[in-house]
Amino acid sequence: MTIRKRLLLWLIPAVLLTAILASWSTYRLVWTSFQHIRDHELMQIAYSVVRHGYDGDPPGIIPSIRDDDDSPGEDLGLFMSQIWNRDGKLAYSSMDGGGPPMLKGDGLSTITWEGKDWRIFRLTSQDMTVQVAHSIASREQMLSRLAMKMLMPMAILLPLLGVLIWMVVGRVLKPLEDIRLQVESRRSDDLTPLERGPLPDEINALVQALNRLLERLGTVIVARRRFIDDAAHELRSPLTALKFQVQTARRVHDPEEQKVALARLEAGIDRASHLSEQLLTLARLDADAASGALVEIDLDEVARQAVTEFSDLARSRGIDLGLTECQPLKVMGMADSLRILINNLTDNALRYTPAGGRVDISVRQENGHPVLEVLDTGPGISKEVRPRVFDRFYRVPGTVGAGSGLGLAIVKSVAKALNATISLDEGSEGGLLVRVAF
Amino acid sequence: MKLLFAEDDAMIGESAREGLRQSGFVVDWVQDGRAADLALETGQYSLLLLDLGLPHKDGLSILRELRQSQSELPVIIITARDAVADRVAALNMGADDYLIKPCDLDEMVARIHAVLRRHAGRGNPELTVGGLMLNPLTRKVAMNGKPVMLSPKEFSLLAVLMHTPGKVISRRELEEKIYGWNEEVASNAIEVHLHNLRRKLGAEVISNVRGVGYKVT
Repeated sequence: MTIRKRLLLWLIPAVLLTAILASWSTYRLVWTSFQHIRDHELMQIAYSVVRHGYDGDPPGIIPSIRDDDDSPGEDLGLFMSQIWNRDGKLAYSSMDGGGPPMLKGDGLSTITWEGKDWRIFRLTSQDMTVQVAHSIASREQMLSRLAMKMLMPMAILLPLLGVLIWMVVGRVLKPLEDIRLQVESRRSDDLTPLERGPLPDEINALVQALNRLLERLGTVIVARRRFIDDAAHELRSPLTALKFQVQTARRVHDPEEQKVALARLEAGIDRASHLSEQLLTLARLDADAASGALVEIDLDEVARQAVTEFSDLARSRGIDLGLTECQPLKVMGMADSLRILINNLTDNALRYTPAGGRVDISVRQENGHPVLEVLDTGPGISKEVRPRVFDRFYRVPGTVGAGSGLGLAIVKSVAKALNATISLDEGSEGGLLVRVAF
Repeated sequence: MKLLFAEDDAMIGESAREGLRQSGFVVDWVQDGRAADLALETGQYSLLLLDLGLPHKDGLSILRELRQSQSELPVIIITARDAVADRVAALNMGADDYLIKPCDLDEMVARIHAVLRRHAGRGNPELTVGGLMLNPLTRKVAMNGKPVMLSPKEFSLLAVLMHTPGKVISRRELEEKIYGWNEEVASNAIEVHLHNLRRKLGAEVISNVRGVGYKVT
């Protein structure tokens, strides 16, 4: 339902209710004043008669001045007047049969006579007693006619008000409609801020919030686009290597050389698949960071698994991989993320540690926080480039081996999701010491 | 024909070197910018294959300095940067050609030959001096229309001499141009190859300017 319809749906009954209440209270006020005025009339008539005196002759028929219902000429049984002389004898009555008896005292009162309610006034002078009365029914009839006339303008005003509200609401909502058109006509990649004209505060706040969202979206999209660019660029290196390897392998005919060429080709394929796997991991981590349920994970168990998993690889490279300390500790995280973190750190350490070296993994508690350390005896990372090694696709200059340049970026991504801090340091034997504090 | 290949990726470097060797080139391969500078200072190269994203010193800086030092060395850029702006920048800085990874080894070889040809001011891929014809692409040599079989080193040596007919090239320079870093060179290797060439092509084709060097006429 549109805001306009909604507003009308609420405003019209509200206006109607107000109108009814206003009419009712006005009617009440008018009723009281009306009674007052009518009472006053009765009194004036009585006083006029008393002043004027009474000559004893009954009046003739007074012709109507106007013939509408409000004509004061005919009493139509709704008005009566009685006069008693000094002796208390009924000298005149407008009613056939004499009308009601004389009241006991002067003044205003309400009586019931022959089934009708009357407002009656008695006035006594030296010469006579005058009694005048209106029937209450006549008063009500007159007032209801008046009330109808009072309500007439209301009946005309209400629809007019409705139309006015319709127009005003439309006018007030115009900026909202403009914003809607602006948003709707936008290209999907257009993230420039929405135009902000002289808008009402509420809509201005909405536009500002939308603009802030657009800005955030913009940075996310730029980061993503750059990542895709980088990824495409990075995929070219292993693909170039593969292409060259295939072409050289095809040209050699000596079986020994062929074997070497094929081994190179296989290494190239391993490298390409490692890179694509790392890319996928990173993409998944990005997606999970937004919607991953946190569960309790045994840090020591994951570390133990990593050491077991990498033990064959370490042995084949002549590296001594082991767990030096392993306290049972739990951390909160997404199910797979911790495994990815430890595996990447272990893989990294094994990748850059020369044969005969050592890689130590330890899990312990420090200052109440679980800490994971991976120490190697490789070349380490110089202080200057340490901050950069967590960047995606960054590789330390002069690095041998074919890393994807994503390992530490993945570690950083996981650590961020786990609220852990990573620090790089020089190991006791010159290698790299990676410390992850949860 | 000796090339310098500056490429930091070990897999690409190894396989390209192997592929270029199969195509008859001698390749010196360096993995960073500083090593490339050093090699350019000391070695005799017919062409430089240059990756842009080199550690320590990037390819464009190497190219700029090379051109600033008035070097005429042909340079082919081999890179994964495929933006038009990158290509334009490299070509305007003095690169002779621009190849985008992943590229084809055969195409790379063809482009190397094309750049070398252009550089020597020739359009025809075949080199001819008198009745002697040498095709660097097919690696075929013919004397008066009759094919001559040469060993790879003999071919390289003849190709170097035929690139600049009439110009006297020293023994040292010839050695520089046909042997890579990892090849053992016997002290009389050049003389042996020249002797064999003269035997196969006729003594009058290659003449010795005593104390200076050799030339093809």
